[in-house]
Amino acid sequence: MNKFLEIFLGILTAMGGFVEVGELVFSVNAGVKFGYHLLWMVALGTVGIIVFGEMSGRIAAASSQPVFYFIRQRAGYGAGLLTLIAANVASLLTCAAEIGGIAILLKLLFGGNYFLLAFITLIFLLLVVWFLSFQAIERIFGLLGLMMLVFVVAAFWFGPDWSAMGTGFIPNIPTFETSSDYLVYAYFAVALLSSIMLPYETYFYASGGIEDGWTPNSITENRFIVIIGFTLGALLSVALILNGALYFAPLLIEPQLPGTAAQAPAFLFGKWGLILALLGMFFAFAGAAIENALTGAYNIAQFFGWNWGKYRVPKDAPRFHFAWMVMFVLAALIIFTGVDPVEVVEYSIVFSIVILPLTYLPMLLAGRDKDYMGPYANGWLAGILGWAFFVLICIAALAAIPLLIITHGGRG
Amino acid sequence: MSKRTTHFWIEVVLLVLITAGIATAFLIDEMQPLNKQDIKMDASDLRSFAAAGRQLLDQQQKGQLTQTFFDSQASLLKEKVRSTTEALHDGAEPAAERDRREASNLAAQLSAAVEDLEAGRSNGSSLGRVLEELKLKSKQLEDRLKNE
Amino acid sequence: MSEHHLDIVRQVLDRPIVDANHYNCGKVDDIEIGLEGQPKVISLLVGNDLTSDRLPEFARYISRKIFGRRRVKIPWSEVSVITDDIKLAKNADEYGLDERQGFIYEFISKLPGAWKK
Repeated sequence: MNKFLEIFLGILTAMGGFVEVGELVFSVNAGVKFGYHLLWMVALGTVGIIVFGEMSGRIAAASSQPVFYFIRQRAGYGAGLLTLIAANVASLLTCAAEIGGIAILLKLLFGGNYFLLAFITLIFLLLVVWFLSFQAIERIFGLLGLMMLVFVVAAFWFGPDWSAMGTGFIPNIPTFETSSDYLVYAYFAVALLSSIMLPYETYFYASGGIEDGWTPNSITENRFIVIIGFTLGALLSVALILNGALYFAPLLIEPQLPGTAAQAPAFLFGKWGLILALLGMFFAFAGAAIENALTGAYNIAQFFGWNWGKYRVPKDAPRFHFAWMVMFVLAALIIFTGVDPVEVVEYSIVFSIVILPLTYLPMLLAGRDKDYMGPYANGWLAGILGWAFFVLICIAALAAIPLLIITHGGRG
Repeated sequence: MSKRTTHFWIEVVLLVLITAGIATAFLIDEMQPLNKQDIKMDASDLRSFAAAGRQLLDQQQKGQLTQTFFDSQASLLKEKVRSTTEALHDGAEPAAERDRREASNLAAQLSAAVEDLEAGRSNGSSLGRVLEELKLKSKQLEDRLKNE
Repeated sequence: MSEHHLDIVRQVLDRPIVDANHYNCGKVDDIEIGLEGQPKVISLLVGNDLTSDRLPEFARYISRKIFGRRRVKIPWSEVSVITDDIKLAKNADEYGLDERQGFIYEFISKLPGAWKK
């Protein structure tokens, strides 16, 4: 019974942690601009994150060693350091975007000065990560993030065209009037893929597995959680696209503020819909901020061989703890410059997909290494899917920056 | 020079060239006058902002939002409109100048409307109509520029 | 891997070092090999002096400027067990590899709750 509860909670946590500010903004806007047409990319991205999430979890369970141990050993110090810096810059930008998003949400809930709220957010995050255990953080933010299910209910309420939705899940390219529309479509496809497969998710998941003390026996549990949890999480993404297509599109609104999305449930359910949506977003964004700061710290400590983990007595892992605090502070400083968090999100998403091949390749190589994984190395399915997605990611990575520039960040 | 020193200086020069190259590209882009494409994007932003303002007002009047949300969202919207208004003050290419002025005009009207929105001056139903009209006019401009 | 054969590149280099209490002491950044007579491993080397050497020239320069040129030598005789990591015979501080010192440690250890759990 206890095992089932563990898995159940794990699934809910994975689901609640699926959405973060970048995904929210891009999903809603993808729905506004392209209706149901990009649903296939959500499905594709979800399969991708399931493949790599399962792989990273399995690597952690089988070897009790996190991915960055392997990166340095096999790729060498120089290449490993480059991967480390790239992954941490991506996490830093994402963390900054989340903090900015949280500050905006707090302003919408309670009013007040944006910068002061960003500062309060920083203090809040520092205190939460310092004082709460890893498991408590995982559970609280994952489960409370499920308040975003109000968007799923709203999507149903708005009445989607089910057959059109079905066709949307099949990869398609709609016909457009101008060639620039095709490029914007491609840009959104790449951005959606990136926002679902953000690098920190697999690193955090693997390190988290070690924090939770996984052994090879945990591999099946890991599979359940990843497959069911991430699929349900993708539901939230789909719901956001539908909210965009069914509510904002007819009104000709392309939400450029994160809080605007909450107006959709507000329309249907009034103030309670609004508050649920805003709170759900708060916990989802905060969870993502925490995951990114911790990922940065995990990566650095694991690369240099320092002591790490929230399971340790804090004073025995001083550099690890200092590292995640520095991540939060630097992320907050980015927000204090006054840059629009939605712009930061844009850059973090594009940067993340550009470095995604760099961060996923070591994982793929570790997963198939029998010296490392013993009998738990990639089977034929994980192998084929892993390499297929790797090729897809490489294509997306090459296209990302040109598309960003040509489409002026998806605006046309 | 030893091999090490040679490599060092090659790397420094490469870094400087790349950074200078990117910085120059940015600067050149910033200094370009607005073309029809740029104005179309600004018009589409204005359309979106006007629509958002309209909807915000509508939902507030129907009691679907909290006062705090309305105030904060209106103020954030005002910021966005202001930034687009400023962007439209830059010089435009000769061919696009007429369009720039039209867009700038709409931006100014939208700025005023959003000011009213934030201050709670809904003037009965007229603010709603003003925002709706600005949304449609911006859309017309946007569509026209798209097809040119 | 076998008992009679140690691949020092794959099984020692860049592997984590742990002390007698299984406390992390960094990674094997370099290996000192004696080439007089029969080649043999003299010591393990840890520190930025060694790792910065593995970077391209400009990065090496910046790395040394910021992080210094520290190096710690661990005689091969101090290695007690090699499995997935390199276990040493004594405690970390006896090799100068204990991270529980310096201003970061001072700061973290003084925070409330730092010694709990």
